[in-house]
Formats: sequence, structure tokens, C-alpha cells
Amino acid sequence: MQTQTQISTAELNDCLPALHRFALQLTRNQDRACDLVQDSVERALRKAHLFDGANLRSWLFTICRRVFLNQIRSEKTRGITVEMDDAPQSRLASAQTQEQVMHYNDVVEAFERLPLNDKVILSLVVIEGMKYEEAAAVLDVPVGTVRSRLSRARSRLMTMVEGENSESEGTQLAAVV
Amino acid sequence: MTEVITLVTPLDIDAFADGQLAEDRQCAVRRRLGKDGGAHAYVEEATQLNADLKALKFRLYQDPELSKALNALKRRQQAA
Repeated sequence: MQTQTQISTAELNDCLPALHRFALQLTRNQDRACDLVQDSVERALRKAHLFDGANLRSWLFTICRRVFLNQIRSEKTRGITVEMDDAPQSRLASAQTQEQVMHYNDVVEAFERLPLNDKVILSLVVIEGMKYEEAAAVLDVPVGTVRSRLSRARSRLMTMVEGENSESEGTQLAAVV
Repeated sequence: MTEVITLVTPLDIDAFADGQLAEDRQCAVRRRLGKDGGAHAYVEEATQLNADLKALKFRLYQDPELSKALNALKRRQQAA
């Protein structure tokens, strides 16, 4: 996991009150705001390597907004838990929400921007469900290579879906085609 | 008693999200996730992304370049 190499604790602490106020504006709920701040700071520390060092407060607000939108998407997808007997019949058949459609579109667009070799490794393991060993045999590379390439491809896709980095760098996968 | 500490690498965490770890390694990663919120969030994110990619298979495979590459690999696998 990444560590906070470019963010000082003091600087981060200075931003927390403003971040909490911002989270409160978004959630309109004290408990949810605290959770949102927690999730945002956690993500910021995990993605500290992406921070350009310019404006921590602005960067944290951006992360906070993204985390909030992701939470909304997730809640929309999961829905509210109710007893089956209490659920209206019309609600038992769910259509895709607008947020979910938008999220899927984001994933497709980001996937399309990946280098071919990233697409291939993700397709084989994640979509086709191959074991690492099977993918290694198909690509004629060691299992460790499959693991590291897959990890890099996934990280790149995550970053692109989050819109933090539209630049992609291809891995060299000589075994393809 | 000596406490056995199992090293968990970032690639183990990826493999956990992919469901590709043996039971003992899974246990080690679960212990790590219990202590490391960042790792836990990563697994959640990776698991969600995996589910998204599976759900979007049809759309993603419309990419002619990807289809061609996958078909070439399948042919190679069948020929081997």
C-alpha cells in the first residue's frame, strides 16, 4: 500500500475542520460527515503519491466529493434494506439507476483508454476468470509477471475511473498476438 | 511462544480480491485487512471494479483490437 510520502500530518490536520464542514454540507448529517472525512483522509493517504504538492486543501475537497459521489452510487446500487414481505412488488424488479449507468460508462471509457496489454490481462483473469497460472500459461510468462502486470493494470484503471489520471502508460507484454 | 508473522504483500491483496489465494494466505490477508483500513478500502474498490468489468464484458469485448488479441491467445492455447 502507498504511504503518505508527500503530505505532512500538520498540514493535513490544518485542513480537517474545513474538510469536515465541507463533508457536512454534502451529507447534511453529522455522523455521515465524520465517516466521509474518515474515508476521504484514508483515500488521500493511500493516494498520497498522486498529490502534486500544490494545494492540499483543494485536493482533499476533490477527493471528498468523489468519495461522496461513490457512496451515493453505492447506496443507489444496494438500495435500502427492507424485509421482502414489506417491499412493494414494483421495487423487487430493479432497473439500472442513472448513476449506475454513468458509472458503467466511466468504467468502459477508462478501459478503452488502457494499453492493449492491460486490457488483455484484465480480460483473461477478471472477466474470463482464469487462474493466475492459466493466464501465465496462455501468455507464456511466469505467474509472478501475471500478478504484477495485473496489479499495475488494475491500479491504472482505478486511477482512470476516478479521473485522476487520463494518461496511460502501456506495459510491455511481448506475448500478446 | 514465538508469534509467526506472515508477510502480506500488495500483490497478495490483489490476489485476495481476485479470489486466487490459498486458504492460509487468505487468513493472513484477512488479518491484515482487519488492521489496515487502506488495504481494506483497496480490496473493496478492486472487488467492485472486478464486478463492474464482468458486468460490462459484452461492451468491453466490442473493442476489435482486444477481441483479436484474445482470439489469438485462445487459438494459441488450443494449439498447445
